[in-house]
Amino acid sequence: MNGDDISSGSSRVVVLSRDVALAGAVRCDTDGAAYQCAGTSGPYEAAAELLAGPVLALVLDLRCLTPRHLRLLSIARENHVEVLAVGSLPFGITTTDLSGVRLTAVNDLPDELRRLARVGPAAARAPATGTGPAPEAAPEVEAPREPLVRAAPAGPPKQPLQTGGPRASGERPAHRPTDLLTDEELAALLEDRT
Amino acid sequence: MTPNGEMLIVADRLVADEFASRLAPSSPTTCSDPYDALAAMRDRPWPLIVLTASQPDLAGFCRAVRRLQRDARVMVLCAPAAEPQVRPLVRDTVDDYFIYPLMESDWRELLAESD
Repeated sequence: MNGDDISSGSSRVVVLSRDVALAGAVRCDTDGAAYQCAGTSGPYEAAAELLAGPVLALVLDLRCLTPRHLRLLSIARENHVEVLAVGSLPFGITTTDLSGVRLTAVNDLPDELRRLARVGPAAARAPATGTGPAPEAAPEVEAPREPLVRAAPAGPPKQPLQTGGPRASGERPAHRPTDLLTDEELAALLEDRT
Repeated sequence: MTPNGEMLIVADRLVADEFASRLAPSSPTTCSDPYDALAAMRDRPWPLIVLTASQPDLAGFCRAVRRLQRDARVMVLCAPAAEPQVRPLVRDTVDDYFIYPLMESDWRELLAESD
């Protein structure tokens, strides 16, 4: 493997890139020992690193990702590994394929990885299902996350379905075009059934 | 002695079936998808791993195999045309390779690896 020979630990960051500059940008902070880097040049090696032990994050150069290797992202999800992607959408891959992947600028990678190192791996941050003590609050407000795949913008708020039942205020609201049935129409329908 | 069930074969169906018939009644574990194979390597140690050279990024896959299975014997089956691609991997990540299709002597030698 062409990466550093590092021990397993939750502060490991796996870097999948053939770009020396990108690997250097990620490693520029390793002097501070906030995290350790495992450099890989292929998706299989990156997958092996994810499977070999706890990993804090996967830094993914999108140029290394092809449709054949989307399974790498599945392995990252299964192991609760944060995936930080750099680059543009590769040919043959859709935004849906990259669900959960966060697009990050190269210059922001060290800060983002330091932040992840502070809050710990995603597996540790996952909500506990047992009855153990509640996790401590994060020491500071996290920076807003920028998912690569955004949800569709919310449209105007939908009107709740009107049932025509008695209201707390006792007032009868005026009929609105969005109402399905008025109280009178509903009562007439119910009478027809009886 | 290692039972043949301790052998992991990473190959397409044709090769896997050939191994299954050779090793009957033992049934080796086979994976056609390299990522399935890596997941299987995470779960337990394998004394012998046989893989075909038809994998894309064979060198990277062999490094991944070695990352997860330091002590395994790793053998590659390759077509004659792929031999120049495989030979440099020997003693780096791969223990040895065989030209496929295998001759009887190759089968004996390969299956002896599992003993």
